[in-house]
Amino acid sequence: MADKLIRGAFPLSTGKLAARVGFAPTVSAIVLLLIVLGAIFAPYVAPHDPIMQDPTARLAAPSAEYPLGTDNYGRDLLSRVIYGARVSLIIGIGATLFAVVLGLTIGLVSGFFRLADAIVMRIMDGLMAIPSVLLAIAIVSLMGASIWTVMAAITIPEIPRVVRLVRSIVLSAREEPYVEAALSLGTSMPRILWRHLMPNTFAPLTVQATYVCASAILTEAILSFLGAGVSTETPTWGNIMAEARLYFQLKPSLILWPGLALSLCILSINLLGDAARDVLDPRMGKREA
Amino acid sequence: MTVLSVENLTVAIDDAKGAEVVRGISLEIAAGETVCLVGESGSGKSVTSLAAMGLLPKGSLKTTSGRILLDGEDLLTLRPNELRERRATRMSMIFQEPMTALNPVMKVGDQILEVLTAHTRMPSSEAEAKVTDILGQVGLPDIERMASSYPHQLSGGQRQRIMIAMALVLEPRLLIADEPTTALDVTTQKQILKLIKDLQTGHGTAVLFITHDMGVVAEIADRVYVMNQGALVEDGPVRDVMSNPTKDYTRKLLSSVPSLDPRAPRPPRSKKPTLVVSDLNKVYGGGGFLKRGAETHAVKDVSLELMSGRTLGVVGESGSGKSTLARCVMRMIDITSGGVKIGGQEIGQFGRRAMHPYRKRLQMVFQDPYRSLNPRLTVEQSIVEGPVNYGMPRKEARAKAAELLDLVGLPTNALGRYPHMFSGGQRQRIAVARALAMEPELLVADEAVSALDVSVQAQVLDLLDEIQDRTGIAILFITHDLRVAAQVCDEVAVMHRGRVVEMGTTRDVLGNPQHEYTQSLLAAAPGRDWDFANFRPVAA
Repeated sequence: MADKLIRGAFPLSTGKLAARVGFAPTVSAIVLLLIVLGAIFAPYVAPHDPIMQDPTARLAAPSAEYPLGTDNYGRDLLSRVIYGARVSLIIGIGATLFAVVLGLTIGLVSGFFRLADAIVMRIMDGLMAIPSVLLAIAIVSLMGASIWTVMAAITIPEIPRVVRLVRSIVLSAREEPYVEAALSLGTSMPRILWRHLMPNTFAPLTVQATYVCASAILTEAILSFLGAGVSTETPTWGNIMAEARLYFQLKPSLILWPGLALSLCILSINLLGDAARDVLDPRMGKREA
Repeated sequence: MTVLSVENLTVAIDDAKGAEVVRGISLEIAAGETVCLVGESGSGKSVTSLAAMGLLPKGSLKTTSGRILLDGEDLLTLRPNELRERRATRMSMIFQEPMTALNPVMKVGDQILEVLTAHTRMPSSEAEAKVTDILGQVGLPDIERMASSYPHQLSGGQRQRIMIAMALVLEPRLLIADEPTTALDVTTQKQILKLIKDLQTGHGTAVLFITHDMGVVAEIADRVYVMNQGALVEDGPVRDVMSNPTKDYTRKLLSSVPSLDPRAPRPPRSKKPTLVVSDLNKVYGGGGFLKRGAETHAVKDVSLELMSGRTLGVVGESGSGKSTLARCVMRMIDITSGGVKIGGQEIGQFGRRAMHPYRKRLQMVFQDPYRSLNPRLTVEQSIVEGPVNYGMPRKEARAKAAELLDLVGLPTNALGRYPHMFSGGQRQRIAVARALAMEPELLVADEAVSALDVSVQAQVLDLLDEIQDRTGIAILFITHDLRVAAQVCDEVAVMHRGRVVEMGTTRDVLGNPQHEYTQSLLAAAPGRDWDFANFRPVAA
């Protein structure tokens, strides 16, 4: 029994990873990989410059020249959707990295030091009480729209979720006898945090990071759609949909395609997150026999 | 009349290799009889009982051959719903930890009622009367209040009584009890054992009692089956097996049971005490910033003295404050009032920084060897952590770690391995090596052998004794087990509700207890009339 529990702490070392990951995660991984590759190599993949206008072919139907048709300025929709992935992914990954690093630090401190905990958690409670999109709009309108402010605006509302997770793990892990043992061996507080407590957070944090990433991409799209995101010249999935709103009746595919790309991307990330949870967290999902 | 008969049962791991965990077990239990299945951890005793209940975890264990006959009916051929019906009405089971077996969000009275309504067509008034009746039979006071309590509001002993009530309410032919008293204090254990015995006589139930504790076997069993590594070693009437064991394994198992006969106190190595505790008090809780809470006075006016080269036992039941005392001495927690002196230096009020130089002089071995070693660090990393913290060069610390492993009887190639690759006893040795790496003057062992099998327990106790002989270290030995205390301690302090009620040499305290609490503890020690190591009753 106990042996099984201990092995659960090292799920990756037990091998059989491929066997335990199912069909859906594999497909999601492929879809996500295609999106990422498309974004990185956008200049080579996209048939047109995403901001080049063709006044003769406004709101054109799909053709060999414009595979998904064009928008109201005559810009190629396919190219815009491909380029749009760049902003979404940069913001998604960037916001995730910042949220995880900051959340991990704050969470570790808050979980281990009681005094800090009382103060930090009240601030986090306060942050969580404000709707994240509203908070993001406020930050963007205060500091002006750029990719960095948008990233900050998306990161800040995500931090409390990471902090709470890390804190709860630290709170239970610090009661473990091996932490008490480290204390009696004269190990310093920062070292206990670093060496004995932090490794416990990695698995759940990886899972949480995928959800943060998905949610960051979604929030970015919402902000762009509301006109509070990156400037309208840069194609993002949210921007494309915002502009297409006026022509929705005329040409619904203008909203459909970026929306589809967004949904696919988020669905893939979430499915990967679920798979990561099944593999990393022995308490959820499949158990090893 | 035979109630349960297991014939040639074999259980294997449900995978391609199919390693057998139980091999060809046969046993029989007659109505009104108590049969004990004893063995150390991993012997397959629990798996055998789960197989009988048809409760083997699906996908990981399966029965590969044999028959399990309950009143002549082979349970292995039944369909799941038929088996479920038998399980409710003809056989039932109680477990070690009643808290996990009870529904935490349902009143216990309703839980028992649910068993009745699910399996009988009894009118509700009759069923309720039956619940009250069975709660009375298991000796619970204030039945009305008990029935409308949630599990967390009851004590461990009360919860186990509820479990027994639930198991017996349908008057099963067979009761399987899997270590039902292991998590309980000795005085509670005694009551529960008596209760099972009484109910059995009243109802004629056959009881299959699974335990690792030879003392419990001596108290309750009519017949005993000894298991080791999945196979049956020996069986027979309990007196025969205990007084005349025919197999080596049984002899070894019996002679590992520590005797209640106290050891003679050894002379102290020096005049100056290593540890002096004076009027120590610890109060938990009592609210704080924006919070209000009840205070718990966990340790009350405790004074102790411990010389080098000697072992002082602190015995008591759970909640007596003995672990809190250990943590106060280790300065893992702040002391409310009183003093703790290590080698003449008062450390009771030291802060974290001032405490640092003294940490290495007192070290601790914890109860659970599965949790006291960080699973992500190698054995070497765990052992060198302390010395490196105190400025020893890493290379030197490594050499020392290798030496220490040798001292605690582990091969040096264990250094690079992780804790999960070792057995419980080996892990506890690693924990001892880690503590010794600091060359402490005082070792605090908090229930350090309670989680181990008796034979392993004996080895770890021998190891501690040997180290004490060699280094003259003082040991503060916290335990609930009077047998272990009798074996290793020169002096004992008996704690009850935060106070030391009796203290003196082990020979005086256990040989001639003065305080009534000590007397009741001794009286409750299971199997106290039997001298296991010499295979005969204790000479009066």
